[in-house]
Amino acid sequence: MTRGVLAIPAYAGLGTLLGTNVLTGCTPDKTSGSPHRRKTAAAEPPRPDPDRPILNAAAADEERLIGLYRKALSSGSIGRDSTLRARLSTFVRHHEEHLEALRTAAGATPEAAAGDIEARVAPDTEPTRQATASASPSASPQATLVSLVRAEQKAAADRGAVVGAVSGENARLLASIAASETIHAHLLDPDS
Amino acid sequence: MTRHATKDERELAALQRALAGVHAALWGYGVLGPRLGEDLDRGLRIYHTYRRLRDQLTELIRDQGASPVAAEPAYALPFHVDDSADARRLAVHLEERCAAIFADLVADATQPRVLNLATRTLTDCAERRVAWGAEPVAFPGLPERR
Repeated sequence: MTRGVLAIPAYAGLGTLLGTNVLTGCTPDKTSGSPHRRKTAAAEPPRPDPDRPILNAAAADEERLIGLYRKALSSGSIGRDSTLRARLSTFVRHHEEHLEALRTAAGATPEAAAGDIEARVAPDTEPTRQATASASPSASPQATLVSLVRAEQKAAADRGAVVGAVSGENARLLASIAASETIHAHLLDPDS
Repeated sequence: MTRHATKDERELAALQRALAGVHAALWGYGVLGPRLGEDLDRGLRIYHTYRRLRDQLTELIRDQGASPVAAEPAYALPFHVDDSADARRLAVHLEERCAAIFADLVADATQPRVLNLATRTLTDCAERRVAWGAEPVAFPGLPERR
């Protein structure tokens, strides 16, 4: 439930029904998806969800990002800066939440997800792998951060590119994840 | 008799909600701006960004043959805004709410240009929220996932 930007018109009277409604009213509950869409899914025999491969590809990207962060944190390549380490740990948690939300949205078993991921993501993984490789123990903190920034930017761009290819509720989720990753990139960017 | 709104009707309703939100944000920035102190310039830049957004949404709504929702004369503030810390807190609040409204517009968009505007604005709101001093969250614009 999303409430208005500001609560109510200060002088709100009976005559401002539209304005009051727009600003105080709730937008449709987005947590459960559109009711008729959900009902259809429950009533009919299972059929392949066209969004699933896209959601699984996004989940696979999240797993790679989590791996990249964990490697940076454990290898010592980002140094002992406790503020930076705390920030990276926060971003790992964000990606874990993204991963969980994407898996839930895909409604996929791990086996099905793995199959989809291989089919859909394999041709496109090279840049992330390069980023992973550059986050080696010997990398400087600066180089490690740059590789994380690039990986976040690529993830955000990839999420943004498929927002139009999925149903409304999944588009909302992917757009939010893209926004989160864009912010990660900005906050980690040593040049910003 | 009930019937489901068509996709175009849902998009139009979401555009109107987005415009109403932008009206409120403009009013809010008008209130908080003068109290920002050294952040006044940033507040002004954002105010003008919201004015452009208001104009874009107005045009998109008119293109569908509908009348854009008007601004209220005034809005209720969620808390008193006395000093620059309050002003920044209100700015965070406004950006959080606008992020949510544009995330909803992403869900209801049918035209690519609406989807692009909604996606971009969601990210912009989330970035401004952090720029005003809030901690980043995992799901900007999705309050149910807090």
